[in-house]
Amino acid sequence: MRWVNSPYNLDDFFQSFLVFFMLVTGEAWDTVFQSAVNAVGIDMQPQSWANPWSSLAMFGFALVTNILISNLFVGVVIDNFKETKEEQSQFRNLSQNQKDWVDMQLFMQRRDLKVKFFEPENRIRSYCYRIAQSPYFQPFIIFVILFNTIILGANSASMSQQVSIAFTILNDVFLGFFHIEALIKICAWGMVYFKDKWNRYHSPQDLSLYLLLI
Amino acid sequence: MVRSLVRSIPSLFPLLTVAGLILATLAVVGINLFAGKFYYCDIGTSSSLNITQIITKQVYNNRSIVFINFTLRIALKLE
Repeated sequence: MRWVNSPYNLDDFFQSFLVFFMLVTGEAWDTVFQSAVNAVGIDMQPQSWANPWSSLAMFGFALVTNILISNLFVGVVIDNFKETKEEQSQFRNLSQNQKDWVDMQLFMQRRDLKVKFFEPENRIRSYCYRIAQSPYFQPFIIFVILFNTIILGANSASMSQQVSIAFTILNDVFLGFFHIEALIKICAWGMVYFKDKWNRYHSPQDLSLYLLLI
Repeated sequence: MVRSLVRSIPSLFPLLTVAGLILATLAVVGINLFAGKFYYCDIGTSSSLNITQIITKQVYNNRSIVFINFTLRIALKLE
């Protein structure tokens, strides 16, 4: 009679990563599911079907890992197979110039047009614009994001209360940083802000931080 | 076929990176949801079991009700 941990726990980053890699292969997923559904709380004995909503989270994890990622690999191999087949069938008859032309067309298809920004006339907006266009702004934001990622990854079950509180505060600070960044960029660029891919992928991270706040 | 497999090896490396990033994100979410919640009271084998032991296990960690595995629950019903 001992107080033991499940071998498939999510206590720290590496353990969690390992469990999710296991979910990619589909190995022992039911054990993880059961642990998650039976989990009551920290330092509490699990109870049968105590937390049914966590099954939704686990199904989401399984959907992304087992189905999406493993199919991604198969997809890439099949794509390469198709490409090889096409090259063997069509490209054999083309001359070198024609091949270059086809390559150029494909290259141009893959390129995106870059959005160019103009300095606004409003005094405050032009100030924001100068901040946003400065060469230190983007590296600084990337540094903040990386630091935030490290803090999120350093989260674990065995850390003390003080460290946990410090992490929570740090997460709030990061969220504030991202809001200020978004505000500055919106002021500087206007509605073009939402056309930039970087900003569109940046907001999910803000969303995940909101979830942590709850 | 084999040639296409060999050719797809270099393009799998960016894919590995992407997969790793997705897994890392999910791992962070997983930590925040389930860190420290998967501990349980290991009761041991059912052969060395009697009702008093079960009752002491029931008050394990000051919780009145514990989740006991299937064989143990049947044993409890039979007593």
